[in-house]
Amino acid sequence: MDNRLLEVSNLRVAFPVGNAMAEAVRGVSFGIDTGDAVGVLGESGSGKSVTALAILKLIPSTGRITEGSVRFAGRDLLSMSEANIRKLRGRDLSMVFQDPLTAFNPALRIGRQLLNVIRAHTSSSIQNARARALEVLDLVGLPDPARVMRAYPHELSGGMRQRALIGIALACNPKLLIADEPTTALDVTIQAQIVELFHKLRTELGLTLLYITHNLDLMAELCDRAIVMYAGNIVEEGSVTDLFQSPRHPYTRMLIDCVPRLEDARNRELTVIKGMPPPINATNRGCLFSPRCPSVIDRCRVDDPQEDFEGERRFACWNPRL
Amino acid sequence: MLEPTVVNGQILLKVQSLTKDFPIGGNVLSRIAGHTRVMRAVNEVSFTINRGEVVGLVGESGCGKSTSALMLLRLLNATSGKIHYRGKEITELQGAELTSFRRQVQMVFQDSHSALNPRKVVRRTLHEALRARYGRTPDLEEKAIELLRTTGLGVEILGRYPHELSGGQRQRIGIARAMAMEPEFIVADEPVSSLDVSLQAQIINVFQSLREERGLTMMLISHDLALVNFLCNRVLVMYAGEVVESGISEQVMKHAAHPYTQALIGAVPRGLAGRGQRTQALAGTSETLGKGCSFAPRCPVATQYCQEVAPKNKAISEGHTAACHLL
Amino acid sequence: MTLRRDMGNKQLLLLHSIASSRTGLLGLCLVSAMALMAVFAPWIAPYDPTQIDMLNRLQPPSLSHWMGTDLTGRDVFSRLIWGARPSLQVGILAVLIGLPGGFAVGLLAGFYRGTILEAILMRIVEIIAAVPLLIVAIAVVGVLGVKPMPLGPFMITNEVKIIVVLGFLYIPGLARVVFAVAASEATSDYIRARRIQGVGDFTLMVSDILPNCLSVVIVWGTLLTAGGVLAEAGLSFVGLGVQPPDASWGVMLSDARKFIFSGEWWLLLFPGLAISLTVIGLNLLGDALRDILDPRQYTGPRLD
Repeated sequence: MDNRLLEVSNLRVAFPVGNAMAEAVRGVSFGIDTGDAVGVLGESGSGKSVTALAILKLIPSTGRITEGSVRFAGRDLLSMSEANIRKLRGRDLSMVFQDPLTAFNPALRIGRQLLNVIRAHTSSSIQNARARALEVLDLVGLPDPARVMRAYPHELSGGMRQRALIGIALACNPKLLIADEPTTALDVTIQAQIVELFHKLRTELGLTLLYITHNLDLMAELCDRAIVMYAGNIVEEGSVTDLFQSPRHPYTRMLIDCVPRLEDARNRELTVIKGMPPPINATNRGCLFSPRCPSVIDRCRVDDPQEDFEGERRFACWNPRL
Repeated sequence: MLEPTVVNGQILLKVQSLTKDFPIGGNVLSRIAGHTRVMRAVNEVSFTINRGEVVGLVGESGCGKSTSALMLLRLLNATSGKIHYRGKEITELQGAELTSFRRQVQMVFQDSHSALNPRKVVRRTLHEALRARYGRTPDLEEKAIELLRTTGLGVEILGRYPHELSGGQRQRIGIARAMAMEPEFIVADEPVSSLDVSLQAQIINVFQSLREERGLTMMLISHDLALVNFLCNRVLVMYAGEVVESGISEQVMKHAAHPYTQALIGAVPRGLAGRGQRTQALAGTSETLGKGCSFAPRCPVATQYCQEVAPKNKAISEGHTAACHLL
Repeated sequence: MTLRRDMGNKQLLLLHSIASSRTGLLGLCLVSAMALMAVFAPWIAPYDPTQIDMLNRLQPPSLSHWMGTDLTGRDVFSRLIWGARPSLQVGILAVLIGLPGGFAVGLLAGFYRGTILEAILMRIVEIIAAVPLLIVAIAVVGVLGVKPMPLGPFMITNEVKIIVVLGFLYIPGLARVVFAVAASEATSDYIRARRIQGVGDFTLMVSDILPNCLSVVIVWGTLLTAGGVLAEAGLSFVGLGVQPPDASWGVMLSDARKFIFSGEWWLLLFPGLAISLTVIGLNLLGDALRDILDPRQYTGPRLD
């Protein structure tokens, strides 16, 4: 427990939909130890991005964190003042977003935006800040860092922009980096470059990583443990190996099987998850996955699934695959 | 999954040296006069598609695959080159002949906010498509319901606006709209990339059942190699506006000849099997030199010769070609 | 709030939405009040607006003349009511005249973006946009005079001349707004899908793109109507618009010019207020319409 860097307990986040509040995150709890690489796997509507934003207290103003706690390095983030949490953001706790183009201010050069972050959080002199900026741009594998410093965001390619964004996130040596679908907007070959970069950052810097994605194979390459989210709940958590080789929750299993893979035989049956994810304001009793679940039993439609533990794993299912 | 049956190797589509240049810079007048620099988006692309096949066109953004597709459908005019559909040259078709060609070739677009007219309910979109095909027949509504059924949607969808539908539903409508024309050849441009993973499988299924029921010939454009490998029996790999490799899917995926194809395959995440083994990811971006092989700047095995002379596609084995000097 | 289909037909839905925003409701009330005033003028106005009564000139507001009398004894209140007609007529009719031109130019230019046609059309639009209303008005009146002129079976009053001039000058504003939408929709995939069904350009413009332009045109049209009210007031103020003895708010202000400093405040206040409230009401209505008509077309941000 000494190693525990982030502890999220029973987090609930709600947004207004029509005249009522609907929960995007419905009681999520998990922890990350220093040095871990934890993946959050989920599709749209699963609540994975909202969870990440809630940790940083960056959810849109219409939303509210209605319950739960987030402890980072022993400090309670949710009760912190905005001023204090601003000191943490960008320094100890950093985030990389999906779209590198909109994450940058298009009117400022990269160098200026990088220096702004460094000088906001450290008391470095301009020379030291510049040196650190160049160092960071080199660390993320950008050739000719000096040129990148002088460039505007639109002058860089997508891959380079994403690297620069990662650089800004790393500039102040964060303890935890949250990456929300950082490669979704990029080509496959560029994606591989960025994944390689993350891998290097983990091995060389010991970076603790929370990696949010909908791409299972990508997550499996990079992370050691993963949380699977569906409709605002965590349905399964475990080591990546366990999840892939022996998933307990039917959703996890079907998610793995519904994706075509290069190594597969060409005429494999593609598992199809019929139906659609529930809307954000769904209030049915019981398991929210039950309408689509092939292993559904009567209890699933009535009682909310309770968590089962199995060593390092946990899953929430009345009829798990064993 | 049934292997697509190829009807006697009958060629349905034949593309020869298809090229597209876009003018850049300048103003309206200079562009029309042709006095601006050009960007070559598609460079001398040639391939054939046989009846009954599913051919994949694979490549990353900017490689020219979507531009090529638009030219096949005459949504964009080629700068040069020939396209033969059922033996007939279609690049210059006008009027009634163009209309009759339109009936046979349709396109399914990526689900974006602009794939369906946001101001029209589904019923209107489908009725219009059916009217374009059948004229003013009295049973448009029945036909529309039937179209929805073949794509797995219920009657209640008819009265909805696109923004009231999910991405998967919108994509099915797009397929239904294309099928309203009863085409024999469908080009699907990134039909599932903007959908959730679990929904992708549903749409893939819709395509497959349509193919089996109606013997459709298909061209699938995608950046997703695994998807292309799964659905297509032949694949064309594009880079910087050119076809750099082509052949039977299994052959190309397992024995890729062109360094770019190899890099592309290597970049696909492997899941558990990819842990710990880091293949050297391809560096750089797809800017080209202007002469020589367009892949040379990024190619791990490029030689001086590669940078001077552009390679031509040559046969490596039966049905398998690649454009590389080192083969 | 979300628009629900079960709430009845589209017009009622729209009204409900407007009414549920406070500013929209205020705008709607103001505009409706002015419109009703204009329509029912013959029945509401207590006096004949052109009736001179020199014995009772320049009276402050009283029980018999709620807003007082002007320099020739005419009842200000009645003139105000009757004056709503030219103001609103000019505003609305000018927009209606500019609409076909604006739509046609905007649709064509947007649809054929990047071609010579667009270049020519937009240059023409720019030229018209550069023309100042006042100069043209003076020119027209200089050539045609301010008296009503017969044209076949019709009598062209000065008001009609202003409406036509203004309508023509409104074309650029409408065209630009339509152009923006048309240009962006013309490259949509759904237009491509329609093309490969064999649909021709004209049908595409009218059946597919035009409906998408309606909401911006409605909003812009509301704002242009406000501009028209002001333009009429301005032109009438300098004598180029409605001619005496007819009443219009601009004419009333013009008559009141001499009395600014001599204490007959009612001559200025009421027409001034009428113009201001009408323009404010139209602007508020336009704002409310803009909020309702545009973003609701698309779903809100997905919550992930």
